[in-house]
Amino acid sequence: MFFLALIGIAVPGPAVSAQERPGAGVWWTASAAAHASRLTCDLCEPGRDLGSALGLGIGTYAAPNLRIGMDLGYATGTDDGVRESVLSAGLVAEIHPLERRGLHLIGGLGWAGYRAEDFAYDGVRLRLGLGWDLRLADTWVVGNRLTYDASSFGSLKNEGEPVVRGVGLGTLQFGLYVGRR
Amino acid sequence: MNRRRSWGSCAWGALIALAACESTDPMTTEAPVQATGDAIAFGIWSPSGPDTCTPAIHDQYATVGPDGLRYPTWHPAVDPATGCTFGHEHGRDPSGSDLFGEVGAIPFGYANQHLEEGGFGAPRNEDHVGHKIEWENDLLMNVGGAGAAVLSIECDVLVKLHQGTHSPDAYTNNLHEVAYHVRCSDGTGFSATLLTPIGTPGELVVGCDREVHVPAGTANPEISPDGGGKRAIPDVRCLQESVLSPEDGRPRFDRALRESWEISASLRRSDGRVLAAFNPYFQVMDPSRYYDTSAERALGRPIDLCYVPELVGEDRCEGVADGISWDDPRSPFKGVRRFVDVNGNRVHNADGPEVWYTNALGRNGRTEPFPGAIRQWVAIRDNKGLDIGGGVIGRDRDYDAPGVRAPN
Repeated sequence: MFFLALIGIAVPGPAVSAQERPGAGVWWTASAAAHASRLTCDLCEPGRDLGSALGLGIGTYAAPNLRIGMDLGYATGTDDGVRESVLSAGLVAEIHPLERRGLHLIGGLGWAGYRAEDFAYDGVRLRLGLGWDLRLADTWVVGNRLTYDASSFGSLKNEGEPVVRGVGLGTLQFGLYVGRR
Repeated sequence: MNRRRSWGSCAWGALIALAACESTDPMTTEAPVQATGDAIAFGIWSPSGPDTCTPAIHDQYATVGPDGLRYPTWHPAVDPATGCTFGHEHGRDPSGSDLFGEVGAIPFGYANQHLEEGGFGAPRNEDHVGHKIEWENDLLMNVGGAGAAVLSIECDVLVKLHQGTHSPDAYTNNLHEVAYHVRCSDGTGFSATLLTPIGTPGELVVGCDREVHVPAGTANPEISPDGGGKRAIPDVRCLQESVLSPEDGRPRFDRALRESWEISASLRRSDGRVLAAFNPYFQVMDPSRYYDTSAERALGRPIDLCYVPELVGEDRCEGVADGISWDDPRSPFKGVRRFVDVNGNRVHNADGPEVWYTNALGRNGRTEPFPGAIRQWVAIRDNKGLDIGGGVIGRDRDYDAPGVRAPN
């Protein structure tokens, strides 16, 4: 997967221009990525372990170069034998700032939930990122995407009991997606 | 690491005279610097057999308790000034603990001393050699069942338990003195000194089969309360299974000869609410006894097994010379291999104060002292939900030293 992702960056291929995109109707993507997430607080384990992530996005066009929609994500990894997972859902917007380029910027707002054994964290999630569309045929695209999700000021709970307050959660993802525009 | 408050400091050294042992312990701010008398636990050791130190040398290792009485405390197995041997050891030198500056020298027998004064209807005194210290600095703890993968909390831990493994005392007697000091990076911390009931008085739990409870006699004192936890002590069937007649023919003393004293202790307010709770397991390999009703005082001696023809030179009997008695320094069975499972540390004291006075059993906690009260320190914190535990200390340590022998 990473090999493909790197190829995707190194060999951009034909970019999808704004004129070639439908600019209307429904779009969707499915993605697979490597992710690294960590909680941040005074007591939080500072290590950041790699895991894998899957995501889905669906929406419509607000303008020919602006997509809006919803996304769902699930990321998981194992740290010291403990399975950690991050669930996310929210609204997303993707804008192509340059005509005839696949480069697009990603922004989003939603919810992120961290789970590990009996620990749970839920917070408002802000997403920032960028991606690069590569057209396959007609409206099909593949591409690379790098995103960073951040949430803060939440409470980490253990068996429902708040144990640490002021906790942040950061998740970095890099991967591939496929979809229709 | 947070240091919420000092509750004891008594600098002392191998040969520092008692008068120089000055307490700056908030626990003892009102305590005199000079001893006003001797505790029951002081001066009870005397040499026997090959021990070469005198009682006078031994009694130099003392500290003044918060009550102004003189107590014995940790000393090396070999007196560095004279080279004489005491024949017993008290575990790890507490002066290396990060908590030593706060806690100071641990007075052995302090809770025993104040048991009756606090209203308990009978005395409970313990021998000198059974006081064992263990500690670890910056111990990474497991938190909330997720190990250290989610939260990283380190604790300094300094503990002392009276854990005699040479006599029949613990067959029946479940009241044992524990001093437990912990300070963690999340603010969890407490210092507790008490006599804690470990398991049921008058009975032991078989070490190799924890489901088997063996009535072993009458507890001393008879009114000893029930406690949580257990005293798992090997009995003759454990030796039979793992040493004398192992299924694979290979004797394994460590599998059979292992004592585990599993504590469930707490400090409680007078209304019964728990202020602090902890449940360490104190484990001893190679004790010099096992429970055998066919032996005098039910004291089976593992060294005797080394002279069973099939076991000569095998496993722990390797290198054991002929004719060694159970209390010979050359016997490997003298309880010098020990470790502590720290387990849970719970604090429920969000409303404070830090200083509580309890009776010697850790009960009847009040904010003002009363006759027989022991000053305890509990951080103003509630760590409910954190479930800080785990951590093993001392697993690879061995406290054998010249002259050390059972009873130890």
